[in-house]
Amino acid sequence: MSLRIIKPGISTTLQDIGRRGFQSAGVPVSGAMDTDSMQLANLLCGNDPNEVVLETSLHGAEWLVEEEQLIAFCGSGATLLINNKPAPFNRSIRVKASTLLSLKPAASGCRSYMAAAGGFKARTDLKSKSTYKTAAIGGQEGRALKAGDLLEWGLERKELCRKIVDSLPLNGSDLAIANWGAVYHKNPDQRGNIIRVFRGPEWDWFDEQVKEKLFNNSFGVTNQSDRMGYRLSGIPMMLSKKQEMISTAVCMGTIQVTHEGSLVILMADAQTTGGYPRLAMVAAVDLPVCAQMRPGNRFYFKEISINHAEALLTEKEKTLKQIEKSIFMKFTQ
Amino acid sequence: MASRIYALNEQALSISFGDEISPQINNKVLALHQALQNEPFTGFVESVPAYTTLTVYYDLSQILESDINGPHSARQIVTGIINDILSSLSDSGELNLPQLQIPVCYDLSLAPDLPWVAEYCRLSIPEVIELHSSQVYRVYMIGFIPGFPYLGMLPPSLDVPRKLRPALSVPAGSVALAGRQTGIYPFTIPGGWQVIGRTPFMLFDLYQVPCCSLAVGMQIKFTPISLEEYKNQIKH
Repeated sequence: MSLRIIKPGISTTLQDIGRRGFQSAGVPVSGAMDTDSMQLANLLCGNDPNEVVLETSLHGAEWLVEEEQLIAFCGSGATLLINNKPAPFNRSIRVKASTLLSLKPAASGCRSYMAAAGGFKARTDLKSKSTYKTAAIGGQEGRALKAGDLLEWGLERKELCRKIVDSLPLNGSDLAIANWGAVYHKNPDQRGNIIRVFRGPEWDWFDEQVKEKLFNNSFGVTNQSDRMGYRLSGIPMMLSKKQEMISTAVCMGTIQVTHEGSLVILMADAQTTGGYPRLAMVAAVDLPVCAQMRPGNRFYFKEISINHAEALLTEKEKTLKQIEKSIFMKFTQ
Repeated sequence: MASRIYALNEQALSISFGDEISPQINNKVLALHQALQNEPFTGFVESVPAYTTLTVYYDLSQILESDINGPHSARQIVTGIINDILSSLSDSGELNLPQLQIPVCYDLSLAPDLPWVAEYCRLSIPEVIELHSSQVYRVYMIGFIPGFPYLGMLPPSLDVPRKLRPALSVPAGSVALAGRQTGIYPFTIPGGWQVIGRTPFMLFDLYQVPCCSLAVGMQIKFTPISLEEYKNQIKH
């Protein structure tokens, strides 16, 4: 056994990049909410960027490493302690057996990701290890972790994992932290409280005065927020005339407007179809920013074109590829 | 085929074939869905049929890599591919629409909202059962949760509103009504539709291929069974 769950933390689940190909059967994509942090954590362990990781919200987790391992934490929302001493996020860390990992409160952020060299043993259902609780699919028996769970490390480690481990001699210590790290720098105009959106399919259903309010007012993340979606507080967006919406596809990032005029941003466990007008769509590059918002946070929407959103996404994918390549080069010279 | 194509997001396009619920429009959705299943283009991820739309998800970087005459946006490239496929599909193409009988037990112990539905529709309980089980329904869409079929259309005399407050727990297999639709809950979950019976039929099973027993376009008829038959057939 490899990782003993002493305290699970808040809705802690195993997630990978998500489950594609089954939405026509009503199966949500799921996967990590903040895929940037998930991929970064994996790269720091020498894994494939889409290997399965642990996702946990805020603080409270206490996990005991029972068998030596190379790990990395990325994301935000908690302060990492290793054997009760502060340890950094965004670094490769080699820990010896009987090491306690705990997540304590932090001022901001919401979701932390722990990757382990070789990943975790998890149930693969419909081609993905991502947990989807409603249908008990994937991960650890299709559910969130609970106290007493024992997770096993994945068996297949890449050559790069071993090289990173070898670069971190323990020398009698509990742990060895790499003197290099990797951080994915978000776009320069990203200040953390601005979410970039483009027009949704039902944009024209709303009056101009209503749409102006979308960009001139702040919105808040309410307590009714989870992996399925965030219900927002703020000025209501009412339709001037009632229109019949025939249910159609929705996805992570869709901003739906309910009958009461509330906005809901759909997240990783989004239903595959929905019947509310889709006012706007969150730019894919800002979904990780949404994933790191916690209830009570306030933010503004900013409009960009879908072409701009597509260019930003292409740029982001290139940057992550570059990080992957530079880590690989560092250990294969 | 007449259609309108719009972007859902950076990696998805929706093709809309009309603005009303009809078998003809849903057939067009299905024809394009099947064409893409049979011959997926490079970068195709999946397609999701709904009442009047097919939504096509694709991989941005794979699409852009395939752009040899560029630069084009991924949307332009995929729109071109979809238009080519649409022009090769005929409006009157033969579609395979399998038929399926699904047993339903309408016993009051499994049908908490049946008395309310009968009263609301000014019908007797046997009349509601007779009406519900004498129609042939089409699967227009699978959505809401894995395996949940949206079946239509119910006769106007069974048109009932959703519950004002969703029930906290609707048992798996519950057969329910809302508006002109009837559906089946594959999992025990909170839900707002009016429950008038329960089926022992498995709608979603991870360990069977395909995992979802129903698919868009299928023709469904409900067969009433007794409580005893239900108990004998129940597997979930």
